[in-house]
This record gives sequence, C-alpha cells and structure tokens, in this order.
Amino acid sequence: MFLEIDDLYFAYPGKGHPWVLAGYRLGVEAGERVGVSGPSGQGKSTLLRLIAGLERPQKGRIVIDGEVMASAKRHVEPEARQVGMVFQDYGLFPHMTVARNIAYGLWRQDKKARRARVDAMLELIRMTEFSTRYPYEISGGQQQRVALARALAPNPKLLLLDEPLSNLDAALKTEIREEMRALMQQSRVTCLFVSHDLDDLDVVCERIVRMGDDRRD
Amino acid sequence: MPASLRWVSGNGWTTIRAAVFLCVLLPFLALAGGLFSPPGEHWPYVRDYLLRAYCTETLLVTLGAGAFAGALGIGLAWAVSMHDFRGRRFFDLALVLPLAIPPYIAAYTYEGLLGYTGVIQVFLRRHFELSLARLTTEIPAQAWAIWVFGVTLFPYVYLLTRAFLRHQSAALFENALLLGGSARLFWRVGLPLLWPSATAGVILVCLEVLNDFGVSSHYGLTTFTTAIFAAWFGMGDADTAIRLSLILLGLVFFTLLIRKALHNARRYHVVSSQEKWLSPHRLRGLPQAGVILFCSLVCLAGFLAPLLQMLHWLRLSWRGAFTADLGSALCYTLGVSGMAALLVMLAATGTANANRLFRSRLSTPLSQGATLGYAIPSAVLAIGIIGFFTGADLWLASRFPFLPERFLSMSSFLLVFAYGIRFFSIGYQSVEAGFAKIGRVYAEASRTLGRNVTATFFRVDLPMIRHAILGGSALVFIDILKELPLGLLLRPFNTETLGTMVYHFANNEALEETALPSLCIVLSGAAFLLLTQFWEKGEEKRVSGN
Repeated sequence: MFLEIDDLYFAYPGKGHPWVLAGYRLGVEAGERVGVSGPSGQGKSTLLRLIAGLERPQKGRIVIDGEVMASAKRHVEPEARQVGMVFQDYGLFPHMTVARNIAYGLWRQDKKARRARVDAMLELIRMTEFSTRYPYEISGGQQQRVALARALAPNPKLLLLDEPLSNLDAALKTEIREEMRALMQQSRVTCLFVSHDLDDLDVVCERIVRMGDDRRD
Repeated sequence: MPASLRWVSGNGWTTIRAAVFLCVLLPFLALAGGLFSPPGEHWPYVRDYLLRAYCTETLLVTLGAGAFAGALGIGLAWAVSMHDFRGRRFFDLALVLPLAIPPYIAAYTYEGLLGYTGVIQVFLRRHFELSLARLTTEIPAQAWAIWVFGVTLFPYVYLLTRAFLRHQSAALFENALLLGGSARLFWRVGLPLLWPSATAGVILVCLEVLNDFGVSSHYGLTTFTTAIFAAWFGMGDADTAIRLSLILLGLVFFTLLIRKALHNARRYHVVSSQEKWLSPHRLRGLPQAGVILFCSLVCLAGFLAPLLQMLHWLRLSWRGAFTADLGSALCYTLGVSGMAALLVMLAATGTANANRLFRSRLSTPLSQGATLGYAIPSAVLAIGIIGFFTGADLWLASRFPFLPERFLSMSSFLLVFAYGIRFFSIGYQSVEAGFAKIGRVYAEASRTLGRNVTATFFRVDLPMIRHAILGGSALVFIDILKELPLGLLLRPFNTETLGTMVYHFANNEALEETALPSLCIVLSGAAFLLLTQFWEKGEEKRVSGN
C-alpha cells in the first residue's frame, strides 16, 4: 500500500471539541486516484491536512511510501513529506508571477533545470504566454491550473486536492475537470481528491470513498 | 530537511517569543523585589497624609479625560462614518492628527494661547475691551488637564470606533432606521454595538492619562506619576517611589480588569449574510453645517490651535532657536527612536509568527504578558528597569572588573530597552493584524512545496505583511518621539531628547523656546501618521480589489 492511514484520531484543540476523525482507516495504491466525498463537517479537508502534515493527529498512523510520517512518536514536517497540495482557494502567492509561483517548489534544482521544468509545466497547462502575469491578472480557471502545475512541478510522491473546483462556475468546472484528469493521467501521480461534488470525482478519480458513514463520536 | 535545521526553524521562533516575555518580566520582578525591602523614611508620611490626594486626583483626571475623549471620539466617528458631508474625506484624515501632539506640548501651547499675554486675551482686550484675566486661574487645573487630554487623545476612541463602523453591514442600520428613526438609531442600535470598540479606546485614553507626567506637572496636579517623580528626585527616597509605583500598577491592572468586564458584558456577534458595507447618509443644510462645525472645532482645538501657537512662538524665537543643543537632541532622539522601533518590530514579528505557527497552552499568556508593557506607566517601568540594571551592573562589575563603572545603567541601552518594552504592544498588534489579513494558506502552501518555516517567512509572509510592519514601525516611532517620562528618567547624563528639551524649556518658563523642538516632534509625528493612514487606505483598496 502506498498511502496507509491507520486508526486515525483527530480533534481541534480546545475543550469539548468533538473528534473530527475517530479511528479512520484508508489505503491507497501507488498511482491510484482516489476521490473522497461526504457531507460538510465530516473531516474531508482535515484528512488532507493531516496527510500533508499541517495538523498533528492525536492517535493513529500515516505511512507514505513505506515511511511513517505521523504516529505517536513521530511527526515529519510538511516540507519533508514530498506531498503536493492544491488548496480550495489555490493559495497562489500574490506577489509572485505565474512562472515564479510554479518555480517556488523547485528550489533544490539548479537554475537551468528549474527553468526547463517551469517551461514544461506552463506548456502542460497551456499557459506559456501568461508566465509573467500575476495571479490577480488571470481568471479563476487559470489560477486553478497554475495551482495544479505548482503542486505537480516538484514531482511529489502524493498529490492532495482540497475542493479545487468549488470556486469555479459550472461551465468552467466541466472543462477544467477534464483537463485535470488528463494532467493526472500524464503525471501518474498518486492522488487524493476531496470534493462534495460526485461529478468531479467521477470524472477525475478511479475509486471513491465516502466519509461520515462510519463516523464515531 | 536535517533534524538540526528543523529544530532551528521551529524553536528559533518560540525562543524569540519567550525572550521577549522575559525582557518584559524583568523590570516587574525588580519592582516586586521592592515589596520585601523595608519602607523608605518618607513612606509613613506619604501614606498617612498624601496617598488619598494622589488617588483622588488621579482618578478624577483619568475618569474625566476618559469620558470627555470617549464622547468626542464616538460622536466624531459616528458623524464621519454614518454621514456624507462637504469635506468628509479631509476630516477623516484631519481628525487623526491630534495624536501627533503630545498632551504636554498641547498644555504649554494652551497656556500661551489663553494666558494674559496670549493671542486670545490680547485680541479681546484690544478690540472689545474684554478682560478674561482670570480665565486661566479660576478654572480648576484639573479641568484644564481634562480638556487637554480630551482634545489630544480622543483619536484613540475615534480610530477604533470608525474602524468598527466601516465594517458593518448596511442592512443592520437600514433596518433600524426604518423601524425607529435616526435618533433612536444612535442610542438603541449604534451605541450598544459600538460599546466594545469605544470602551477599548476609552481605556487606552485612561492608560495614557495614568502614564502622563508632563501635563500633571505643568498644572501642578498631585497624581501618582508626579508623586513618583517627587519621591525619586525631591525626597531622594527610592523605596517610597517603588511603593507608589506598585500602587499605580495596581490601579492599571484594575483598569484592565474593568476593560475585560466591559468587553465581556456587551460583546455582540453581528449575524448577517449581507456583503454590502455601510454607506454614509448624505447631509444637507443645517445638519451638514452643524457636523462641519463640530469637526472643525475639534480639529482646531486638538491640532491647529497648538500648531499655530508653536509657529507664533517660533516667529518670536527663531533667531536663537537653531542651536547645537537642538541638533544633538534631534539626532539623539531620531537615533534612539529608530533603534527602538527597529528592535520592537523585530521582536513583534518574531513573536507574532511564533504565535501563529506554534500554538500551545503557553502561547496566549506569553504574548499577552509581553504586550502588558503598554499599560504600565512609564515612571513605574523606568523605576523597575533602573532597579534591575543597577543590580546587573553590580554583578557585571564583580565578574568583569575591566568594564566601565555602571556600564549598562549609564548608557542609552536603558532607554532603548524601556522604549522597546513600553511600545512592543503597538508593533505586535500591527504585525498580528497583518498576519490575520493574509491567513495561513500561503504559508501552508509554501511548506507543502518544501520550504521550512523560516524560509517561508522570508519568501512568502514578509513580502505580504511589509505594509503592516512599516505601519507598525511608524506608529512606534511616533509614540517614542512623544514619550516624556522615560526620557526624563532614563536618558544618560548630558543628553537630551526633544521631549526632555521641551520640558526643561517649559519648566524654566521659556515657553517660546519650546517651539522648534515641539514642532520637530509634532510635524514628524503628523507626517508618519498621515503615511500610516494612506497605507491603511491603500491596503483596504487592495484587499477589496477596487
């Protein structure tokens, strides 16, 4: 199993906060694209944040590619997990151009390799001519593509997508999710896609798991 | 990332937070130590005969100034935010300017304006044969002090109340207007909603009054701060000064408790799905004239009149005003203020980032403790700092005999340290507001792209909060320029700040000589204040995308 989540417990800090996740388990094979659905408040986004290392579980284990990333004794920081993430509102750095946003995660590479990778990613998302624009100068759909390219550029082991289509209108959404599927297939990255829209998951993912049905409070 | 680097990126930030807290704590530990030492020889006399007067006078002036500044601040914020009238944009900025005038300078200028040889009395005598010779003597000194504090400190209430009103939903007030008319709108809806922000502003005014030395000393009031100075310098009794400081500290904590109680008693969460912000109601005719007159009079009393009086004095004294002493005071003040503002912003940024990223049970008490310095009157802080660093000097002398005598306590380090503690809160609040605006998503995106906390801070957070940091630095700088008691107590021998220079001229009845150093303080303060207002407006436009 490439991604292994075992008996995961999490509650936000503070007295009386209920478990967001209680004894959650999930397994994902390498290269698999798994969709996670379920009603609001069931911990879909929290699950992604735990996998990315942005939150620490109270109990349980997260293993990625054979390495324990989170357990009772161990917490690997987000920057050391090699996990890419696309956020709901993209989180594109507003003070950087499209090209610099994509290059941001490539800092370990030399300048030449970095430039080549950015060019390749821009070509992949068909936005070469927008490389010098700032995020506020491009449309919502384009921002979404840049966010995806930025997350994919460093070749992450695992890609996490947190409702990346929720801010787009219906027509654009249909177009973008087809593009996303093509991009995922091309990059062959293992992917966990959270959405409350089953149509999104149907198009992009190979398997869908539903959260909340087995919830323990 | 190597484990060693991870330790630095995580704990480096939390170490800054703990170090800042410790720095703030040190002077208080030194003060608390004074409780266990035997009382000074003057203490029984002060306790039996003077303490009551100190309490009464301090409370009277503080509560009076708080109420007056509160009424002005709320009234002006309501007038400017809820109504549209000629010159509204101008008044929106101009009403902040009184903050650039330190209350003690305003007190000196009012004496110049209203005194027997002042412009007003001379004008009335010459043109109307009206004599107001008793004007400055018959009105009680406490009333003058309350007036001066009110017209110079009301912007604290105005700014907080205005900020609150600007972000209210239009639907809320439109509904209230439909249901009850405009007078009821203020008393039944506006005032209860404004209560938390207005009381926060009034408490800030009260803390400033409790901190004041210049105004009280000028009007001969027997407040706690003047009493501490009298015990320290007049009686040469440090133990009595420490005991008075501890009582004043108790008064400050009592004020902070009142703030908490008032805030908790009326804290409303406005529920609205409306995204449309409040739009001002257009005024015409008499109501418009009334509002313009009200705003103009307050601007005149709080900024223009003192400024014109200073310019008048400068006209009379400019030949001998540009001295080498003024030059060195100016350089020293700018240097010390710049250094302290830089240190404050470094500490504030470090602490705010640690608080944002590394939450623990200790983070709230540590950051709240570190911001307490602003509430502590300067005289109290100075005595605590002198106490601590005198001890530190003795320890250093025993360990390192080659160091000069009183290595720390005779240097400008003490003053910079004290400014840092006192004004940390202002810098911290600016940076915290900057972080709150950008949220955590950018930092989280950066970390999932392989950058650690420190690299994320320099590459992502810092460029995005630079306006908040610049704004905070400007506010800290202005406050340090205006500060008087710390300069009086902690500056090295043979050194003057602009503030202490003004104080000494006024103390020697050379009011005209105060003009140039006062103008240096007021004009640089006004320039920085306007700059922060423009940054704030630019930032609001950027966030709203207009």
